[in-house]
Amino acid sequence: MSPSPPAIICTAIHKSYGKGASRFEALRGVDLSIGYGELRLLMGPSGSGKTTLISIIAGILTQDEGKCLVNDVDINHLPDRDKTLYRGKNIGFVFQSFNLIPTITNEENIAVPLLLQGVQRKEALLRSQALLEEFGMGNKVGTFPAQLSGGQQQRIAIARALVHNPQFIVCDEPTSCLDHSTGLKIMEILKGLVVNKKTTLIVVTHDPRIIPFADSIDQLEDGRIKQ
Amino acid sequence: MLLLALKMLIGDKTKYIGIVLGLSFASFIISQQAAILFGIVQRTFGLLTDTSQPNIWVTDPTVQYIGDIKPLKDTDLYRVRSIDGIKWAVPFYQGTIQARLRSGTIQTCVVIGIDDSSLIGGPPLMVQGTLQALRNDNAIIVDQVGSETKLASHSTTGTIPLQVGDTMELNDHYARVVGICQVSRTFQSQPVIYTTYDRATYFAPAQRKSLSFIIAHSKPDVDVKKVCQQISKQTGLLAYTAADMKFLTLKYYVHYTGIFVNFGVAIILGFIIGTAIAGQTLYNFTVDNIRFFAIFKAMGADNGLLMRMVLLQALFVSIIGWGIGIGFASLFGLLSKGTELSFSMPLFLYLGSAASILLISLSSACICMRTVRSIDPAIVFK
Repeated sequence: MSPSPPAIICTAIHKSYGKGASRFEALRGVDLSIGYGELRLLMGPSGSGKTTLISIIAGILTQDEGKCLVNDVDINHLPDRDKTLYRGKNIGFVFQSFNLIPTITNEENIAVPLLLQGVQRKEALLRSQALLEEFGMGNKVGTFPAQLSGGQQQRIAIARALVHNPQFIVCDEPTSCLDHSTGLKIMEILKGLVVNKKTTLIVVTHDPRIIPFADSIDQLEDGRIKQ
Repeated sequence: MLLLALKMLIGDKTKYIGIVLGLSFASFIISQQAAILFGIVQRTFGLLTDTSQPNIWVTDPTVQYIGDIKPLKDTDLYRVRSIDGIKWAVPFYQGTIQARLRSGTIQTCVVIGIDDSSLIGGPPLMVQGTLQALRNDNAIIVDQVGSETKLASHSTTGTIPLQVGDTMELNDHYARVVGICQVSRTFQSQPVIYTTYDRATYFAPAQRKSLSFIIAHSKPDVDVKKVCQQISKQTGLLAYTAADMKFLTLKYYVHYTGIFVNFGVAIILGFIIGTAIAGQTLYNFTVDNIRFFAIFKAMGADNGLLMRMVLLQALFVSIIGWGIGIGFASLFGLLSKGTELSFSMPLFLYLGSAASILLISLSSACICMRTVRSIDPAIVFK
């Protein structure tokens, strides 16, 4: 049986910010390959280019040079509208500070990606509630993010990232705002996605506690992947 | 997503209330001040509104507005009647006369003298008695508001309105009330007394000329403007259509009084304050939610959807704010009904205030949309 092709292939990625004297080179020729159903950690000190790299992979930043194929699609060379559609359908996001909308209910927060894809509100909310049940938070239907603990909020954020069954989930410091045991629980959920749903996860982190969950780790430093 | 946009807006209660209050205030000030202004405007040509039978008003060429009485010669009436295209023309008196009431107090009243034979030019609505009763000796008809306020008697038991059958002295001449009518309030809120033309000139202080206006009607199928031109050409007087006479009066008040400027300033202030409060708060709301708009963008929302969300939020607060403001303005109008305050709120004022509020919120929305449109979704990772 031949090995399946990688889900993400980034080749010689360069990205810089600013111009002239204030120009800062965030990525300096990054090569990266991530397989389907893999949990990849991107680690490194602040300013090493981790967030820039996942932003390029997720199609919300465009590289200056190089090529990034996600599921064989050169997402950053798609027209803006197609890129947005592609992102909405194939990529889920988990953020460091959860970024839940405080004025809508938890199930509405989870339903956002479905609603953006045009799924009927009723259907979207049913699917969100089912996911809440699956995450052991069925009793949180109708409540708001502010009524939840940090760990529960991050679980809502994860549910939001996977409600539309994306192939890829990018996570930016998913455990940094959580205590040790909650952080581990969150990583167990994320690892479960990889194992059960074959979702590809790219996790940016500083947190060494989550290393055991990774299938592989890339260490970034000064805009390059350390070999 | 559009429903979520509304929930995001309403969920931020402080800002939501701030925006709605700002727009309500603007809507109230704009509607209420405009309604008072319109009420005052209507009072300036109330006599023209009440005297609806003629479609031509003939005046001295130097007359500037309906209250500017420059009497004509009695013979001018016959000259007007002789013009081709005139169906009828009758004399019309308007002046002020001192009335001595039963209590002995003196009150200045507006006296309208209408054609003795046809009674054309009478009040628009009789509340008590009939117009024909003016044919009785010394008969007068007084307006209802005047009879209940300035012409009423005051005793320890309360106010006794002037009633049919009561008498008074008009410039030392005996007069008897034969009817009560409803008329538009005058600009100075003086009581209005109707009587016949001959009797009005008898009541009035002696003058060489007493014909205030000639009111006339054109023949059917004749262009009234052409008839007016013909009258002016042949008599040297000025003839106006009823609408032109209203406009002449309005023009006078616009040019020679500060009313329009004062109310205009209040309306503009309402607009500016509304824009400042509501517009600024709406903008702040959008800026505070910019991260969420960026998340929507990252998750697959295109700019069109985000624009629609902002626009819907602006439209929603416009409707609520306008509704509350116009509701309070209407309540103000209802409470001021029957008082000295002039207040008139026709449909176009409702539409005008709605358009103003829409303009405030849409202009704020445009600035918000510009901000939302230019969001870089990459800020979601910052």
